[in-house]
Amino acid sequence: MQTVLRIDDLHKMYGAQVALGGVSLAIPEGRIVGLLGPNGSGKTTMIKIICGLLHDYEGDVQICGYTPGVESKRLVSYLPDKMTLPAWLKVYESLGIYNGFYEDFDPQKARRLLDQLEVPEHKRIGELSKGMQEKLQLVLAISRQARLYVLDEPIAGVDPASRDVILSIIMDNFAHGASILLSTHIISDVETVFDDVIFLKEGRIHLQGDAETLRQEHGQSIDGLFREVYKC
Amino acid sequence: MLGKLIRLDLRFAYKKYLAMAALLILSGIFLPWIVDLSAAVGLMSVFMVGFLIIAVMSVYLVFENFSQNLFGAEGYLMHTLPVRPWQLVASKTVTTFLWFNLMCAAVVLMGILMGRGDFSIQFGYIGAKEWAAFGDFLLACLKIWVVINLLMFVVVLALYLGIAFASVSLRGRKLGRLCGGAVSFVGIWGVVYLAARVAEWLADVGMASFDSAWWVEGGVFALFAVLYFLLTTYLIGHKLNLR
Repeated sequence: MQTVLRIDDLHKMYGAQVALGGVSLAIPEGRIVGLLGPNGSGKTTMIKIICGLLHDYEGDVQICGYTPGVESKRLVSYLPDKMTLPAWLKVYESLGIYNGFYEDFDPQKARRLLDQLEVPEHKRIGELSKGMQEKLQLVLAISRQARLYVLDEPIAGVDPASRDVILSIIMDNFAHGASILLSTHIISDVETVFDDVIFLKEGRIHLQGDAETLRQEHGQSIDGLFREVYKC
Repeated sequence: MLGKLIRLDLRFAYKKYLAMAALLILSGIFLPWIVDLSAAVGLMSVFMVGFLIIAVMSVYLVFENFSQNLFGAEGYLMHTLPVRPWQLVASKTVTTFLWFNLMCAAVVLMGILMGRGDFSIQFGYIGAKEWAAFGDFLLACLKIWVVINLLMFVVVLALYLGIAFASVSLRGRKLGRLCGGAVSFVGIWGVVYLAARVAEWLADVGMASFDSAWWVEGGVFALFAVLYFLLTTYLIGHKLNLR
């Protein structure tokens, strides 16, 4: 089984503050991996490094054999935790941007998903509600035939009723054989989809492994384990 | 990919620049009916004020466009596109060149429209002498246009360098802005100082006229523009720290 993401001894400092202190991991193809941790644990920093948004780090990061750069960006589909598209852009125009820059983007699939999620194509992004904006970004990310999907808090801004819909959209539409790295701190709603989980604490991996094995070893759900690991 | 980036950058800013150009041209059309500025202060003053407004607005828009688009929330989109750092900077530089020249053309048109009462066109026989003089005039205009654009490139790329420096290499926002501002200021001031020294040297060696010295000063501007471009690309490619 080919390794989609390999990280060796990754360090990242913000001034004197340690954001990541020697993280190592490997994600084989076809796995759905939960990147779990409270705010400030280093999840977003790690994701930014994988996606090529932070360059000033130490250690080795390989995505299908490429260090973060132009080649890796062709293989990684990223869902950021904030709205990155300009407010004046219309929804259908954002599809045009993705279609122009990503060869693996499927506009028909994107339109179908927008329709399914009832995101109006002819509205400006600034006119959409926060939940709708997040759905749009999810549609853009998941409509690519990527090797690795990096989803940063995909369900944080949506109401509990919509979470199942979002999750089913992700599960039904990501490319066959691809892997997903899903960062979240809302565990209970998503833990059933994880093949593996990684617990980050203060920039280091506190616990990682197969989700089912961890459940059996600790005799509790991943959500319960999360609460135990991060209790104050 | 560069072409696609340029098209995207044009879409990001076209409304602001076209609105400014339209405003300038409309001012040229309607202002003489309200107050005859060209008669009151002279056509040259109108041009000077027009170019000053353009310079201030352009610097503001360049700053806003570059910093928000590459280092604000939109940076998450731009830096995850499968493009190289030099293509991001080149795209911004090319679009700034296009907008700057559009604005300059709008100012010239505004000036012509404002001073339309002062102009008179006499149609008649145009001989070889007149054509030659017209050719010389066009050549001089072309040289001035090249030098102004090279100077614009240096100033814009020094601003880009300062913004990149402020945004990517330092964590503290205030300190970053201060350092970035200092980098831009030194970058622009250094080139202006060097150009003045070069002009002095050219006068010493008997190349004092613009006609014989424009390419030397233009070369200095081009050299620094390339240097700033490479430094900005390096910072984005190796030190990016998107917040």
